[in-house]
Amino acid sequence: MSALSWKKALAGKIREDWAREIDIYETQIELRKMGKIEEKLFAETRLRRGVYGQRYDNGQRHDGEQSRTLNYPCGELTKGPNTVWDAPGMQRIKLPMGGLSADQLDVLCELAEEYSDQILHVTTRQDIQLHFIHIEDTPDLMRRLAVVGITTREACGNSVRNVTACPYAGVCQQQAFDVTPYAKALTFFLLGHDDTQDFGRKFKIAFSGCKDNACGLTNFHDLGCIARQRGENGKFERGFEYYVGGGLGSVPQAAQLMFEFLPVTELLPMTQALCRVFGRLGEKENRARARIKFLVKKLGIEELRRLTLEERAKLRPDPRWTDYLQDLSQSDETPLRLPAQLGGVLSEDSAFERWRRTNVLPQQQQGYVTAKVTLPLGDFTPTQGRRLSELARRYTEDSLRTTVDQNLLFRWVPEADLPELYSDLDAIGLGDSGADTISDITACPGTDTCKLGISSSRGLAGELRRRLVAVQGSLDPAANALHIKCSGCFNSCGQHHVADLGFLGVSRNVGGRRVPHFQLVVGGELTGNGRSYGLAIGAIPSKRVPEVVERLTDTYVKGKQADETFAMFVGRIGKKEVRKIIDDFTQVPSYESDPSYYSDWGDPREYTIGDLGVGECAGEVVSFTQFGLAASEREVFEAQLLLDEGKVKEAAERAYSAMLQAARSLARQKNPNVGEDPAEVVSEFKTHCVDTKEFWDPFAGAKFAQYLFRVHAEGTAKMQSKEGAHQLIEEAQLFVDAAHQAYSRIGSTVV
Amino acid sequence: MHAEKIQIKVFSSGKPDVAGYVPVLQRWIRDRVISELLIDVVDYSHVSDGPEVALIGHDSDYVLDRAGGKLGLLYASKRNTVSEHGTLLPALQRVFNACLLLEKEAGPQVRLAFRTDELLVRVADRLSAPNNDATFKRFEPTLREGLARIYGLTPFTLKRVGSPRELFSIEVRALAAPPLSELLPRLAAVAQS
Repeated sequence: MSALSWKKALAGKIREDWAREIDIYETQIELRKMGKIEEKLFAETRLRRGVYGQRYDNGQRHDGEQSRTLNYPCGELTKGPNTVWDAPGMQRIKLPMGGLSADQLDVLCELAEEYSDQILHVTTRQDIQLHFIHIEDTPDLMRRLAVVGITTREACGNSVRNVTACPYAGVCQQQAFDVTPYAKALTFFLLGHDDTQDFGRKFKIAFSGCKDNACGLTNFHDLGCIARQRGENGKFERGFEYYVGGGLGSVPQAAQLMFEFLPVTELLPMTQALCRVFGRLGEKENRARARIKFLVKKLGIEELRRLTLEERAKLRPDPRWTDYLQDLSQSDETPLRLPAQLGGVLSEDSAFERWRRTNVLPQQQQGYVTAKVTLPLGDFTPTQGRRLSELARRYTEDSLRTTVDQNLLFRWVPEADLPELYSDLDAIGLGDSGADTISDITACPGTDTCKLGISSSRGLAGELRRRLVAVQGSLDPAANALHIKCSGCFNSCGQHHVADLGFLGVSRNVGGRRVPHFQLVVGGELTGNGRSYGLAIGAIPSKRVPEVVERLTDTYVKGKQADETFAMFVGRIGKKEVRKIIDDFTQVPSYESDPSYYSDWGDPREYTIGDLGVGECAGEVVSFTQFGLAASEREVFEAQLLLDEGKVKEAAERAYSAMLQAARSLARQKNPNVGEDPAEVVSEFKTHCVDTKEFWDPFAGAKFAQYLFRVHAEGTAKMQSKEGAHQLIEEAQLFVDAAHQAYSRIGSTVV
Repeated sequence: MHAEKIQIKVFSSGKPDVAGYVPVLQRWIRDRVISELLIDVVDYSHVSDGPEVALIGHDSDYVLDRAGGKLGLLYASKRNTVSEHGTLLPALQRVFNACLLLEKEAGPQVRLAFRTDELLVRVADRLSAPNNDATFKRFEPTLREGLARIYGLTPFTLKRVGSPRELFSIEVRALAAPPLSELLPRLAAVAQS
């Protein structure tokens, strides 16, 4: 084995706590390979580090004729239920608020080249995803990200996902105030927080600087915060309209207003309290009903508010709630160049002007503009990425943002620099105009890589884009302003519900054969933070969707009244009429007369749903206690390794830490406020677990508890001989085993 | 030359539209045309100046790639074990074999032909092979020796290219372009020696 390792090369360059987390994850990989971690627990462990499955990772793939086994060399080893170890997966990389520095972009490009298929993909939640990654490459991938300040922790799984925000935050002309520092504070406060580890499902948060525009899409998030100011006579207080319980999924729901004005000082504690309530009362058994929107429906927003306020009152004060408010300017961006305006229009018909019209917006700050880079299907190459980072260093420094429409945004561009920037972008194939227009289509990965994909959302989006770009110059402005979004299935990752023309993948049986279709969804609206959701009109064969788009846009342009939006137009003419308009496209010819209908866009195989797998988006429900006990097991193992290496003192301390970890995991079931101080942990453990005889052996009584009490009272100094450490490790293992027994008896009952 | 993550690009003459190869490569998976575990085909033709159609495998990827504006087949080894001949010659064998198979797929819609007078050799491992002169010095002798075995008496040059931020990359230029049908037997002979 090479003596070189990224771990060694990057030693001292990563935040200590992040480095430790990654080392722990790497140990968990090794333990899984040894069969020492149960596959369900390992699955949730890796999901919480953003290590996701991909299509065919059950080891089966339909080749157009039949399903065949992919004979990976790993044999029976799995990385989760029905998920083969060697099967390539996806790494989701969170970019809070979509913020991306030039250095971070450079590293992402390196990772795409060395571990992935040389493509970086921007998602509808401002993340970057890399596909076809081998799980054993993920620890080094995470280390290299950590050096530049990126953590993949909780990118997936039943956790708080990437916190998104309007990409124009801080530079927008309509914003109440810059939401960036608040979103950032909430992101890192909740990351790994004890009160966010017990969810039955994911939790998505979005921030918006204003109510009316589409950029933040707070309406369909589990938690949406819209910036507001109140006050008078020059004295203003900042706060948020605080919405809870939105979500798309198969049945979209608008978030409900929990607080009309939540002062910024309450943002972190109130959200902590809300998370506790969700962790405690949210559904855990039925994953299809485990999002917080179902809890809102069940309890009502008033009762949820009451419970949250009640929980808020019980929280142990945390200085992090308001520390960041002392200096909000920490997240301010500094423009690299002085502001300068661009005089006039170069030429109405020039490619530059076309690009400027669609991709450039003036900032609040005079002389500066934002410039959006249109990424085809959200993809770019490492070569393009490195060039983009060079451009960032030249024009704007570290103020790139990814966007939920799967593009990239340069901020703080002096307007006078636009022609040069455009020329540079064009030279690398990223000078396409059409951002936020009908050709700028959002699509989830769909059947390309997602286990849940039913039809090829990317294939459809690619075909639509190709056709629309070709005619864009001659499109009516009203048609050009429409938005198309495609999801591969009903889970709405493509956000089809809020598009003018939304498509979600479905399958139909025609003459005994499967045919890919898309449900047409109309009536949605992006504005108002994604305020209203469309409804399905009918299923169209995939291969006829482009014609449907053409027919509907044409009908709209000819039939609209005044400034009617597409949603208004649909509302006026009625969905029955819309259905009639597209009816002739719903028929599927026989296989013999046109087999092309029986395969999907971009995939010549005969269409099948045989490759559908079990999604990992819902993760596995693993409680805080289970994670804690697994962590204590790992620490015992690490103590053994340290002893083997002759590190006696560290081995003894790690054994003690293992017992504290297990004790705290059990005690927190009764008192979620138990901190990490060893004296507090031991006291709470004694009160809630030992005195109650829950941590109790039928034959040995409190013997195993005494192991912890003794080492806590005496310290580990007396155990720092080889024999002493060995004994302590044995006691720790017995203690952890007893903790497992106690948990099995008690179950996951919480107060 | 020992580098697990070796990549070799063989350039195409002509600039065909390679979207037509998606069904070809799907068929390769179905019919197990090459003796590696092949997993999927991905169409990236919407992206400019990069991978266009990728055949993803467990040990290697085969990518019709247009980076730098030059179409070619990029072979990317991901975890092939190092043989006694290192990784260069086995990699050349695989990529030349794939090129020959692709050329045989020529039909009215697709027509690929590959040149052997120019290669790009890369190592996708910045830790063990940063793109600098020291890496070149380390790899050059075995690279020369390996290429000499296949080019025979045909002179060729090696030049390190690209910036330090990019993957370690060597441009190979030969004065003549021996056909694939000649190079493959030479590689096979070396493998058996």
